[in-house]
Amino acid sequence: MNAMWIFALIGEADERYLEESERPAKRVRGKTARAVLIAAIAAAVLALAAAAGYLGLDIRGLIMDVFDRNEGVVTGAELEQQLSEGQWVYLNGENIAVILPERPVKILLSSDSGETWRESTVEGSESMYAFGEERYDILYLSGWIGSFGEDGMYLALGGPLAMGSQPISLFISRDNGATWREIDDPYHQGVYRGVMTGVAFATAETGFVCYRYYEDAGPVVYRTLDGGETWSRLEIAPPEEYASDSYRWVYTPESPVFEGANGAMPVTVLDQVTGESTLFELRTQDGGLTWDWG
Amino acid sequence: MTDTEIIELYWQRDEEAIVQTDMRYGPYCFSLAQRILDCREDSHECVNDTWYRTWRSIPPQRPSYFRAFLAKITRRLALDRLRRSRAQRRGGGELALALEELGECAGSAPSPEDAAISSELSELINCFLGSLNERERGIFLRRYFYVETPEQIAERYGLKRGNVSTILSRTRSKLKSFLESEGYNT
Repeated sequence: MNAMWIFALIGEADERYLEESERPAKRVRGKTARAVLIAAIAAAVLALAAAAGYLGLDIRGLIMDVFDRNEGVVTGAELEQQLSEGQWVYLNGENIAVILPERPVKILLSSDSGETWRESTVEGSESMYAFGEERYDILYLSGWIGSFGEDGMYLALGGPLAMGSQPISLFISRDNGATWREIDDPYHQGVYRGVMTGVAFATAETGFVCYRYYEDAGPVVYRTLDGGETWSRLEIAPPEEYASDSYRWVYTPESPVFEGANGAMPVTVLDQVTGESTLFELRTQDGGLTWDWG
Repeated sequence: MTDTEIIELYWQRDEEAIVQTDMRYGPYCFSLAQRILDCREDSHECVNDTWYRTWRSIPPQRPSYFRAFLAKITRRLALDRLRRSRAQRRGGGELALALEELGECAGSAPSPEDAAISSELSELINCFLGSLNERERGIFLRRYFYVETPEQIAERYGLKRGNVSTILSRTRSKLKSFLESEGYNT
């Protein structure tokens, strides 16, 4: 027990010494690579936007207006960050989809690079199941939208974060976004309630919700193979070189992208010792049934 | 959101403070608790307790080093939980090894049941830490405050594992001498 006494005594170390011990050289190679990747994506999005000429619609302003009306639940800087992560706006060739996070949520759609627009309302998004009950006062703080197949689209909405959990709602459209149907998700089912970091559907049946690491190092990805009826965690072993210390490296997966049966899922690996982040990629060649580190 | 902004939310009694703290430092505190408790469920509860304790502490406190402030609370709560729930068991994995190493400088130091950590003892450990150079102090705290493995510490400081062990051994000897000079371990 004496050793335990010394251990407890060390717990009284001055906070400035503890902070000092966090300082040693942190390598930034991974962070830089990540920043470059994000910048490249953002630049590509902006270039495409400028070429398509739809920036005149001021999409960012439209989304920000909604947040401002809701007492600034998402700041301008946070929205910029979310846009760079692929939230709220989806671009695919000449097709553009924009989420307006109102209640109910509205979707702006264009299939001619922004020349003309149509609007749809997401039935069922006027309320959200959160914290044990159906709530009509929930504000949407995150959102992903995308497409699959010929005429399929998916929509994921995230509510407020609380103690490492976040209520979410998922919707599917089979008519290019004209009408939407809510499907079950891991939060509703009580299967998993973490903080959503990405969503994608390869088909109407096969979908993925990605989560920030929390209870374990991750990567935490839940998958449905039956259109949301059931969800289960994807078994993903860490890369071989990181298998030795399961708590040193933590994983944050992001929205996968699919082209037919081929798909890729970006995963940021954070080294908790050095603070270095490295971007990895999980790849599938069978429509998301199996994944391997690329 | 910066630490200063989060602390301001606590002062305004805005519960968003807890959400932001959890976002920013949830995994950090969980890792620390997990290294001590070696039990995910307990560690998860320990982190939640940390947020509750922080909510009660700020105000009146306004920590200068918020991350370290949270780490201290998490560590203290984890240790309390370990004592309560596992009685004599010393936890698993890395903590058991760290305690074994510390055993060499404990001597006749009082057991935790006999001696609460008083402000006088806080001064004692900080006096000792202040006598070390920055690298020694950092390596010592990474091992015995944060319960990191020697391999992790070696990576952090760009040293070989053997060098870390040597520095730790030397620092433990200094601690033993220091405690003896202060009337402990006689």
